[in-house]
Amino acid sequence: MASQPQHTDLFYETHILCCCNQRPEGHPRSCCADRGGRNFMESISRRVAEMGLTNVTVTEAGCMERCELGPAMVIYPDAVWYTYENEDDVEEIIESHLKGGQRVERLVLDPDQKLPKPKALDLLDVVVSDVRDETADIKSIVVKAADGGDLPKFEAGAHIDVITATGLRRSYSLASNPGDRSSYLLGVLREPASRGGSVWIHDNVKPGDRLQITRPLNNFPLDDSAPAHILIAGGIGITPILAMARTLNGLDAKYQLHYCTRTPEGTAFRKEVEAIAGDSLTYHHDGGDPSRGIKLDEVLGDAPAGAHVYVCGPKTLIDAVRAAAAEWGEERVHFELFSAAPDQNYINEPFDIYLSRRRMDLTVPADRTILEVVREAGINADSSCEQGLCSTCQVRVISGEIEHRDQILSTQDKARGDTMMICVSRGKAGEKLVLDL
Amino acid sequence: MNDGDSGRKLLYDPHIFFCLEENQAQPGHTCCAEKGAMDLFGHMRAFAKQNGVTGIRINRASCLKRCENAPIMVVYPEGVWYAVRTKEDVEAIVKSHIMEGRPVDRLIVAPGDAAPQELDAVEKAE
Repeated sequence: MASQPQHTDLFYETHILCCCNQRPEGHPRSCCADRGGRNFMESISRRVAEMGLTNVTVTEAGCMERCELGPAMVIYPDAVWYTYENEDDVEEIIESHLKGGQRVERLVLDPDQKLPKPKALDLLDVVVSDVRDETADIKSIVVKAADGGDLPKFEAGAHIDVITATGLRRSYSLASNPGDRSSYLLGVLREPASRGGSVWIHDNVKPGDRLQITRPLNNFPLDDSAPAHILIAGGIGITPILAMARTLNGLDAKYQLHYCTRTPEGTAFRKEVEAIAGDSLTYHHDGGDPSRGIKLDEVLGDAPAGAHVYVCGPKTLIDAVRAAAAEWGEERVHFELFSAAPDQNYINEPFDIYLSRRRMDLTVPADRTILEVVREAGINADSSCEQGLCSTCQVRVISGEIEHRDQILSTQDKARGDTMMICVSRGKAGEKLVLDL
Repeated sequence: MNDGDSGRKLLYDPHIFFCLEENQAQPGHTCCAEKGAMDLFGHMRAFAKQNGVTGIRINRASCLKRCENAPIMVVYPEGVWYAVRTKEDVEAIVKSHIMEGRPVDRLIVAPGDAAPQELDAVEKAE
């Protein structure tokens, strides 16, 4: 293992030292503890023990002066430094470095490195195995891993982004069975008025085509501790609801599925929904007149005590469900928007930002977003929907008052004030936001 | 790790971890902090600075799990462990090991070394 001269035998063949330094709240350099260092250290310790790796020890260290790159760890005697930001990173370090003896180059911190390395978008190569017309304007698409292996696991409610040949990135919920890693089922509504992603998919994607997609991300998870579940889908919003119904069947959990569309002919995935939900399924066809559609007061009024409601579809439906369930409490009402229809007339004003990892001051003018300003400064910040719906651009906020304009953070998350969607949300006028970027 | 990169640039050479643990001692032992580790750590940092040593880091660490040798520190990448008691001990490590590259043999602890006498006595008494 060791590449350095040794004067003695080693007590530990591999000694992992993880920074867990905690600075005062709001410190502009932030710290490894606020970036999750302690949780990751605990994961590493647990995995090392679980895997029975011998002569490896994990120690909590104080500040190692790599604050801008943290959370940081160093492995001795190899003298290899790593940063890591999620459990997948931890797992890869353990599998590759500790077990396989191969450094994880994408996570290595070089000795003279001062700034975070640009992150490559982690894309999956898939092959389209089936395309079907579900309705006149909805296609179902099945994709499999291009290498024939398993796709990453996902949970009901998750979505992936498809990267189009035209360079667009569009989110689609996974409708397939979360236990099945051999393929993903997507539903795509043709939306001529949108930015062109769905039209490209409708007009171009055919069986045998290769596509690139992102890994599944779940902003709409089931709460499987609830005693009962009311699932409400509007149109193409059926896709995550289908995966939820499959999961709930597997758990033998009580649920009702309310599927709202205009007409029976315009109803996608009918066979699947009927086969999966059976007697738990109710269709609501309104013929284009919402007053003839779902009676939310009845549906929610008859719900078993403690039930959670999940709604996915047009904003009008989501707003109606949220209003009807206003007394339920936020933790029992789950929703996912597919497109934003801003109903507030925000006034934009300039404000300042400070990028903690880069020690960089920037000003966000009234007519630009944080995302745009950060990109202009040469930082390849990730984003997808750019409407405050998908959480791809989410950034931790170290200090400063945020004006949240996204549709995804809960009231509690917003009130905590330690995270924001930089595509739409802003700082209060005259405010300086310190961002973990 | 593969051995192909010896001699590559290190961020800190050496990188010293000083156990400053207060309340995690293994049974029968006393924590480094209770045996004066904090003062020794502070003195080592100050002494290295006075002597103009750069390119190293003397780092705080939690329990290094060598409580039988408390106060304990480890010097990486060499992997040399020292049990220190006095200011003179840490000064010797700075002068000899860090500045001149000669480890201080009398302070080194290594796997297989007998634990110090008084701690043996404590363990037996329990």
